[in-house]
Amino acid sequence: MKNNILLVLLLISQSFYCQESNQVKKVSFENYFRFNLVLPFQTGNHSLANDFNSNIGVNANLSLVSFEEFSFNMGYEFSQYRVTNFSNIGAIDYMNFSVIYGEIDYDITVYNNLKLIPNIGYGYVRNNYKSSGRKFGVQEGTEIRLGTMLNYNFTKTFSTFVGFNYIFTNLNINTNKEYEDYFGKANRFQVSLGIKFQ
Amino acid sequence: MKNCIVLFFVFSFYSCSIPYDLETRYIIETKLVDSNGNAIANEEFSIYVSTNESKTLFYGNSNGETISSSISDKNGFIKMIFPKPDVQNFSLSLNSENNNVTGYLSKNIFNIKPENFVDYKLVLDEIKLAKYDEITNFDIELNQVTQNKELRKIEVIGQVYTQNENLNPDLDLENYYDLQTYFSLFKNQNFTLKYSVFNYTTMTLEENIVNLSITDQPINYTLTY
Repeated sequence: MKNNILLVLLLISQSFYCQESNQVKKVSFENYFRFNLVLPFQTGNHSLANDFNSNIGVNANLSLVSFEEFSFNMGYEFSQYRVTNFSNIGAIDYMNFSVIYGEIDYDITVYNNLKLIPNIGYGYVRNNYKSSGRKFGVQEGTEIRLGTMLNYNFTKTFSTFVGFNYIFTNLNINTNKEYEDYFGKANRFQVSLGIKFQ
Repeated sequence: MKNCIVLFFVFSFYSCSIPYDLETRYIIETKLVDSNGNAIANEEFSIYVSTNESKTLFYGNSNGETISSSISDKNGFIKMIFPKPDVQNFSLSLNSENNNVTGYLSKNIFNIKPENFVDYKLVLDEIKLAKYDEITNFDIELNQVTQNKELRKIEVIGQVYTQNENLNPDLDLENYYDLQTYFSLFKNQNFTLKYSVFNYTTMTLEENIVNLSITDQPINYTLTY
């Protein structure tokens, strides 16, 4: 009887140990950091596409937690848009387009060091309208980001990637019904090229 | 000390600038036509914002700035979209400068208020522009012969080219404009001069009507009262 109790205790303790070791394996707080350049291409008939010229932007992204092949990260993206159609925007030179977003990535190993990483994200948009030495005001909004990255690991800690994203932006707007969608919605296709440290 | 002065001026300029609500956009639309009703293309108009409310008479007031500009298309159609000024009281004016290329005289529609916009949009009636050579001057010289009378109102009825139009006339501005003594008239027309004189002896308002005609030469008219 004494032996049986000991055996049961041993099995239980072994089972807890296994569960704990599995959890450690599944959830990770190891961080990685990505930095990339983004090249936006506006699509459709909206103000960002017709009244501005977009420039190359920058994006920085930090992973917070990973679970199996999933990882959750937070990012910041910045790009500047030059006003080209003053009669639609006003006598303003440019707009700083910035986004803070959360994103979920899923890692799929394609071949050895090559990974395909589809992702989905949601962000808060803040557009700052400016001319040199002058702030005019801010327009806020949200965006949904869908995309994928092709990531190549050079070493265990350094990799490079190319990304493709399609982004739907909704901006706060009060205007004539005819122009609500024109100034309030935007779609863009975005190509990015960057590096990753982990 | 020098740096302090520079900083002071930098902050002074910042404090003068008008903030805007970029989440609210106003639209002004109109059509430009000549004296024969034909569309005018390639004429530039701008929107001037002033924080000085109704006292702002003319384009160029120091408490304001140009917030939008546009050029009319081949159909004379002009559209300007601009952010709403984010201040309590403001007025707008729609302006064109004397254009030496197209030859049209300047136009200024001023005292445009937020309440003039319906669903954020203001559609103005056709704006008629005149060329220099279509216009001649009608100047009135005032000749007061008695202290018992006061000139209250002057009005010209005919084909008048009004360079400054008040979209929301109020009392102060009306008084200012009623005593206008300089008019731009289209050449070769008959017109009527109406003026009111208040007689302090009889305490009555006397209305006077004079029928006149103008050719291509300017007229200097002496108004005696």
